[in-house]
Amino acid sequence: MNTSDAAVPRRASSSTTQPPQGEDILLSIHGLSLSIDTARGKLSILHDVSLQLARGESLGIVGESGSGKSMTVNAVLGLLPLGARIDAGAVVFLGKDMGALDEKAKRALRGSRIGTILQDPTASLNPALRIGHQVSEPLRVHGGASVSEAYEAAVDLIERVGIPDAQRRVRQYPHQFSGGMRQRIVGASAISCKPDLLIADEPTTALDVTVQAAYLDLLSGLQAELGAGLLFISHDLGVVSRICDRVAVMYAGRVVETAATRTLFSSARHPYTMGLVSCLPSITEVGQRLTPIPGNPPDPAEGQAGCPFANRCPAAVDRCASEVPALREIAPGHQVACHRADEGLQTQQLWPVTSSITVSDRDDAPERFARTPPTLELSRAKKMFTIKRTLLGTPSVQFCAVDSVNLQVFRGESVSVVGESGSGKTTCIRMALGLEQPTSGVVRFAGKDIARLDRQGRREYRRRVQAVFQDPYTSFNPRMSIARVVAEPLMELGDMSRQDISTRVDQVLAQVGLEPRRVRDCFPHQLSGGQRQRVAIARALSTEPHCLVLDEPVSALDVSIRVQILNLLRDVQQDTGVGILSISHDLGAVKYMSDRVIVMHRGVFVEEGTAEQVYHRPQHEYTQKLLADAAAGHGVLHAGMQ
Amino acid sequence: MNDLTNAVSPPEQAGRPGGRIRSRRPGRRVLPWLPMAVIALLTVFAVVGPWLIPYGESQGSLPGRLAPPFRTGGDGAFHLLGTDQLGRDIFVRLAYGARVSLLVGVVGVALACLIGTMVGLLAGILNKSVDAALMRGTDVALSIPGLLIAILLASIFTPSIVTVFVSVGLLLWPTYARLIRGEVLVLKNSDFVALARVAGCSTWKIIVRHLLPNVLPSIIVLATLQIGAAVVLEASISFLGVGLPPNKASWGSMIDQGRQYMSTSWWLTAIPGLFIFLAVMSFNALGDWARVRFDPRLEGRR
Repeated sequence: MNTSDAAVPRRASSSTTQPPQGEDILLSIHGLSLSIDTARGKLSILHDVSLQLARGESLGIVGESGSGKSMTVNAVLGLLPLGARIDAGAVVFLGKDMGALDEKAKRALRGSRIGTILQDPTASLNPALRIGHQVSEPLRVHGGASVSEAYEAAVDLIERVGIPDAQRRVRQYPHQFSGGMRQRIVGASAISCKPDLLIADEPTTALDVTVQAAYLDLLSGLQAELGAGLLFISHDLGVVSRICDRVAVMYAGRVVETAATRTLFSSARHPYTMGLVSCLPSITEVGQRLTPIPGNPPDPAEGQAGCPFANRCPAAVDRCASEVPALREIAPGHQVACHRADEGLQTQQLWPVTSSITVSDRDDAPERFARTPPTLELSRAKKMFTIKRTLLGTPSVQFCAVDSVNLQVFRGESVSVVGESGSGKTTCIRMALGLEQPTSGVVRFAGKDIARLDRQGRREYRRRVQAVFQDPYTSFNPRMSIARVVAEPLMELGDMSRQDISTRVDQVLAQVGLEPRRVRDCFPHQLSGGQRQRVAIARALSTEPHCLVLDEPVSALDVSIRVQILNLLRDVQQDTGVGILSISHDLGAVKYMSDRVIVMHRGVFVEEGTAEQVYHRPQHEYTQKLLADAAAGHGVLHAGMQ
Repeated sequence: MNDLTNAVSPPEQAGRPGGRIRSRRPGRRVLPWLPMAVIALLTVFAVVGPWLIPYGESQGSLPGRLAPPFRTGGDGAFHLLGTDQLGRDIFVRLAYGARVSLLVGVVGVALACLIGTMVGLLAGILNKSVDAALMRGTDVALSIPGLLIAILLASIFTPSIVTVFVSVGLLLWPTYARLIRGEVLVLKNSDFVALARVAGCSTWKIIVRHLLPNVLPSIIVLATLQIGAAVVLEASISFLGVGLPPNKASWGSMIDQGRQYMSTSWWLTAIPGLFIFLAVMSFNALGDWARVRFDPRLEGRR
């Protein structure tokens, strides 16, 4: 990734890589342990977390969901959820123990000395207030500014976060801005009181690839300007690597490794960190296979004696199961909590990248089916949405979501459509699934127009085309057991006995790596995100489909789970010869699992080719930009790996 | 892939109903027995109450009128809960009233539930024109004064308890329709409904299997709250001559008739009021319990 080199090293090499000392310290967390009282009993959420942040420094906290990273931030802000209690340790900010302050003092600190940016800019802004009002709110509340002063300041702030025409735009409402702009506005509000500490909790996760990099630049620019400390929370190592001087990796409520960003990528010592680094599909070449971190993070309800990572760790020894490793310094500024940190474990040994699937192996797969008509075909399919109607009900303003696209999916091949949100990719697959009728053009299944299928043809279409959606939390009826969820498509086809269906359900559950006896009678909420996504795949496979339609199948999952699911999909495709049509905004995941890649932009396919061609020799300007932005977002990562 | 099978650790708490872990809130343990017991007692009272005391439902004596509870009235007769403005025994009237009020509460609300849920589900799931038609119908139903409907019904049918059921049903359904439609509009865009369509489910199956179970909790909560409203509504309907004749007792009509004596004889309104309160609280607690009990997501939190 040569494109990224120029943008990369600025942060990681120019800043201090030593942990902060003495008077510089802005924020320090000492041995923080925290638990929450729930109906299931007392859950320990944080164990002995210690972190330090100096003025002008940026510290990234990386971890999966449930690792305790957000709870750490909540403890810093003094905004703990109901039932949460600090058992030990303290948060010291600007020399004051946050735990000893009363609510009023804490509120004053939060508003004026700490600026916060949260994940979803839409939820962070009040849709009923003008943005100028919202940006300057901290100034009026904490800075004692008058209305006219606040207004002046708002114009200035909005200009500073790179929104042109600020005079006019302060008077607008949040819905008049794009997602990236809104997050900039949230940033403007966060810096309005010139805080000493900026906290950003997954600020770019909800943004498109093309605006992520620019937002990160803005954030580090603002931080430098203010001389503030930045606490940056993310599940994405790539993003953290771009903006942070130091990174702390959290797992199951503990800090397992802290190091300067560059050190972390070049010589991580904790097996979990190594796993995370090697788990990023974006760094693989076409045809390579990653080793996923097996299993799931531990349940905080189950007490653990040893290292929390021991049962997923390929390097675990007996001692790991009985003794919790302490966080210790193995080099200046590099701390690791692993018994075997000194033994020089290598990433490639623990988490090998193999090339079990070669490109040529995969290439012949589509040919086996090439003589049959494509399983799914969009032919000059176009979809218009009506935004406004005249009084008589005829459309007056229309929006063309998908403009006359042609797409074919054969059995045995994997086709991916990549694009930003709003590019029309979701509409494409909704048309392919018959959930949306094309305005013009046709969708064909096995050569026949799906709008004109007879009863028999319709059944066959429903049998052979199945779907898996993005969010494993909304994909299931919460009131149906897993066995019923998986059996539903078979029940609808109605040509199997109950006994046969039950057998088939067990079979597909086993196929996706779940233990049928244990999950059959569970309800969806009792499974983790990764397990649910497996169930969704099992359900889709139950009818022996010829084509799976996947809507961002891994983007809602944790990093360590993503590769598990991607590998599963690849295995399933190898075993059953099912065709896969997937859409994604994640270029890494697409590269990892696709034979053919289609780039979509504003409703049209701008580029189409093999994964190899699209990634290495992108022709269209937009593809080039997309690839460059993705690479830029993963700055040090690429440099560090080479 | 083998290592992944042991990755599955679904919880053991998915076991017997009742859950291993009890909530710390002690009140929850009494559920559902306390409200069930109260409802059972009220039902028994309605059935056998009239025979416990030797007075008739509309047997009054003007000398013994407005006797306070636990006292002997002006005519020398003892009345456990006192007498009303016509000297009728309140205990007996409460028992007779329980028959009417409980029945109206349950049947009337059930009817409203049925109509409202059906309209709400259909408006939510079917196309826009059906939705518009049904919801305008609901608006019209809401905008016509309820008592007008009752009077209309009365002029068509002979007044009886059945007209009371029908009037209560026709008066209360629009609330359900509104509530259910709103929930369905959200649910029908959820992924699991889209996946059900991909699996080939018909609209009917989607309603029965995916929508109804998920809107049920709201229906239960609203229904248990409306039982109280139905009991009071019966009094107004009967007052208009649509329901039961005025000499027939019901809790609602007892309150209604006792209203003008409130400043001097509190028991005329307070005692039936207490019974309505008990019934509504019990139904509501029972409904709340049922809502939690039958939600798999709240397993183990009871």
